[in-house]
Amino acid sequence: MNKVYDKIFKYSLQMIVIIFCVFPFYYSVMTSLEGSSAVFEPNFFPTEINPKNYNYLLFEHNFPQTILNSLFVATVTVSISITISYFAAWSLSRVNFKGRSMFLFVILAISMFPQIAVLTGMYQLFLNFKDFYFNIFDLRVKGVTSLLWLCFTYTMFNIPFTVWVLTTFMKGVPKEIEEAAIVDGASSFLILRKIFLPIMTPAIFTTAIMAMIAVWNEFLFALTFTATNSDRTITVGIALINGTIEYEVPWGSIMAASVIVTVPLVIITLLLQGRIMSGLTAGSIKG
Amino acid sequence: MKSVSQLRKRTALIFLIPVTIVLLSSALYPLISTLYLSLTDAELENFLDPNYVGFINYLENYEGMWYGVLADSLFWNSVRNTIVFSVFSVSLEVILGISFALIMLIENKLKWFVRAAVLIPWAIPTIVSARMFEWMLQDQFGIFNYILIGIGIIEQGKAWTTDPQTSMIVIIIIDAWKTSPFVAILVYAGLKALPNEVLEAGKVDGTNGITQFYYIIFPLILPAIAVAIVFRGLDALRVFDLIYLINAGSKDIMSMTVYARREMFEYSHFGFGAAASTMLTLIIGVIAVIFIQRTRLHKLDEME
Amino acid sequence: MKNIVLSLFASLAFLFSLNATAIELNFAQGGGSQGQMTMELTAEWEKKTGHKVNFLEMPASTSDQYVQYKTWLSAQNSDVDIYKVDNVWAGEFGTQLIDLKPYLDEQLEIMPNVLSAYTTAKGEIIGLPYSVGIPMLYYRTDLLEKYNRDVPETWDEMTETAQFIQDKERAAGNDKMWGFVWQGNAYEGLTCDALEWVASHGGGMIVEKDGTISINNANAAAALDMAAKWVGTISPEGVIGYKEEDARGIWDQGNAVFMRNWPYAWSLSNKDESAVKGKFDVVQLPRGPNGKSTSTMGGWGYAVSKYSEKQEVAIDLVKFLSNRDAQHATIAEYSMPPVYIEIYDNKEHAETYTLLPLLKGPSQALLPRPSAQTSGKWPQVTVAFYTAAHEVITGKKDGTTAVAELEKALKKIKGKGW
Repeated sequence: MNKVYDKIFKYSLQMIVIIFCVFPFYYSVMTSLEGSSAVFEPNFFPTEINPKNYNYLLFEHNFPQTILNSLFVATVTVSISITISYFAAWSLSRVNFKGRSMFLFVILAISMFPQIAVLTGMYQLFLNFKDFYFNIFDLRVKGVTSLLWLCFTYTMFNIPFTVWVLTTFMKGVPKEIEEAAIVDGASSFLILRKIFLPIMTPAIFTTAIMAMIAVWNEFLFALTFTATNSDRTITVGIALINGTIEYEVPWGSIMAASVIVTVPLVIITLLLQGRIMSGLTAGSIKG
Repeated sequence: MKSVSQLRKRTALIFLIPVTIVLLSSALYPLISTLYLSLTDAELENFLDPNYVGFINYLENYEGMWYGVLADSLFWNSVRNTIVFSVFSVSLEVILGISFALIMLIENKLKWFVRAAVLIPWAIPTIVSARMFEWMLQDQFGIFNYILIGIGIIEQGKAWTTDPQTSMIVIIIIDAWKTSPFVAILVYAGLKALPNEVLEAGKVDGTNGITQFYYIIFPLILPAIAVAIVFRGLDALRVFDLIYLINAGSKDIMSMTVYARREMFEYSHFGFGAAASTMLTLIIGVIAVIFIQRTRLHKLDEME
Repeated sequence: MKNIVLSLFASLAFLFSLNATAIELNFAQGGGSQGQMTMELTAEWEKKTGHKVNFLEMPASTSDQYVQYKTWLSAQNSDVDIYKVDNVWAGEFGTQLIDLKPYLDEQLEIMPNVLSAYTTAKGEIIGLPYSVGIPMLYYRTDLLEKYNRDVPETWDEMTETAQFIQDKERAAGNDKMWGFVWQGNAYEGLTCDALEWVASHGGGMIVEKDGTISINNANAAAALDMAAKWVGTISPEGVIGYKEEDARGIWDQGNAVFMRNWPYAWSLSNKDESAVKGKFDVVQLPRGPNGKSTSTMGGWGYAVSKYSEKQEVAIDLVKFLSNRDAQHATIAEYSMPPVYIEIYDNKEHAETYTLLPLLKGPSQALLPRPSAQTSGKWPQVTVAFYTAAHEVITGKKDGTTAVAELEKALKKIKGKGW
């Protein structure tokens, strides 16, 4: 009997979490399927199924391009910041040297500057970067200037987070595991690759997911540094969705856009979460 | 062994070079330029060639009246709003986040649904979720008022986001909805990194389970929680999108960043806005230092 | 004349050296049907002159556009040649845009009240309007008929009728019915609404043309107090959070007798899915006891950046987009209120754009917001004004206190001068 109650208790806890997290999303999915006046009627189930908002976004608007751009920026940013943070995290968690905590704190200080405060400075830097870049490359690759610059700024804003999280997780790895390798005369590089990488895989993927979502959702910089339709990212793409007439807020299209940008992200993260699980069973952290 | 440890030190410094380069090359100039801008009279026309004016953007006594960021009651109002927002939203997020993480550990048929569901709020861009809530909280055709009227809690629809009495609470709840997953995922990863025996030990049912959790598991995931609090706290202190999108014009929820943005980009007071940005960075820095000292988080980087 | 010479020159140049002289312009503008219209017209111009125009699509939100423009202009970016500008940005961006006055011909015949919004305090015309936003009173013909009421001419009449019909309809079981919906959120829209109340009460225009601050007067206070009384009586409590679409949502559900809104709602509310299709009409906004009907002017124009390196060509395009031919060519398809007065009387257009003749009256009641005379300080003035108005309608202050405090705040903003 007790077991049954326990089961019901667990299921209901899970249901609460699911409803809490998903209801607003469900409601926007529903709105995205309704026509422009039907959205003004509150109800729990769609009164009509009308794919016109999705058709508009996927086939008439340049929305697919913005998704590709965001994917590009997110992939580049996350790979770079995770890679360099991984090495930095080892230095900051496994090696004792003077100024270590100072270094960690200075990195954290980057996270204290609000984006809005550095926006104008970043923009001037961007213009210089553009001149410099244009002098080196020919026209064909100019189109990605803004995207490359976004990768650069996002990497900067992501590093404090990725470094701190990876450092924290790496500190949790027992000393003995590394010491054995040191005695064997393995180089630091080898230790990082052969010993830490399998253990750290879940942490790395978790950090990567979080960094990726942060990049995916950023708006202010993306708006400022991209100007042409070919280099907009998804958040800017959503902001560009106009009503056909001034003042009209196209709720349906905006909600459809949110569905289109959220679903791939959830799928990617679920796949990566699979990695977290397998990473853990393969890892030898126990003990 | 000495040479090994020296070699390790050298490698460690080399490994820090890329991070240092990225930060120096991209962060240094904007920071210095903001600092300099705050000491000038920069406006739209003379933005590229402003005059140095000293500290008058911060504080100035002119004909018996005080001017400058520090003398602006609206600035201090926004500081207060920001701190209230941060304290309550981060506390709520930590409580929800830890609960979610524990619920995510439950192994049964629903586990994948829970894990997917938890991601959704955080994966939706703020620019959309703010709109979504604005929509659901609308007084006449919003679903929340519809539900509340339906079960008889209120009689007339309420404008939750603009009513001065409820707007702050609503903002905190929306932020908690959106970012609890952030805490949940970090804590979940922390839990997953624990040895299985520890988790098993914590799985004792009943009231005893809570004590077990508190004494056995909690201390072990404290580092992950602390990091989550630090980064959530810094984000909350810099909150912009959500408040700006929900109600940019309201004094009741105006945050420091919304204030600085308004001075800079709406009023074109680039100098004054830069001074406000510098001030708010200082305030955030002081809060961060106090927090890290108090929670002994800096001990995290001490070797055992 | 100059126009013809210019285009002649342009087409000659085009003939002689084809691609060599074809100039590429960058044009920042919004999307939606307005953007569509501009692109269509520009294509004509491209054909005529052989130049090429790239469009930079801006976000839908006006304030996002504004920030992007500001970032570009403050950095003296020469990449963008033409900007689509809001009618209240003249004072703000005036020094960053070209004075078009010396180049104009027929554009000088644009309605003077409209053109004045794009004219700086120094008399420079920095933008050419292509359409104007005209707020109006939407009213339910069926309900007024049912209860045998006249179309209101004063605010008092409107309030009385709204209350009467709301009470009757509610008694008849329609408990979602409201008398009047408008825009009461603390944002630029409230500046528009509140300026109408104040000006139509004879309370001035916040800051007069010569720069004097006029808001602290009994008429203005009375106007704000009137609106405060609507909240919770003929308007929902939630109106203090409404923007244009919130009002239209209620209206489209058939749950309001009157609505204050822009012309855009006309076509949307006449769609099949709207509950009020064919059951409503528009009229100019009511007036107060001491004033005349006033509509706060909205609308957009085109401007040329001072940092553009292709100014001459850009000016030519901007003129092309705002001349009469352009207006006639697009009015049937895009239904945008024109900026030349005689077009409102055009019978042919009235057949496709049924709202057009109804707009003539309100178009004469248009009042630009005092953005030109307050130059770069308009953003602060409008925030101060809508904040004060919001404090009155939320019941935090009464009208008299609010306008007195607003005067003080405005004086501080003005400082040594606008």
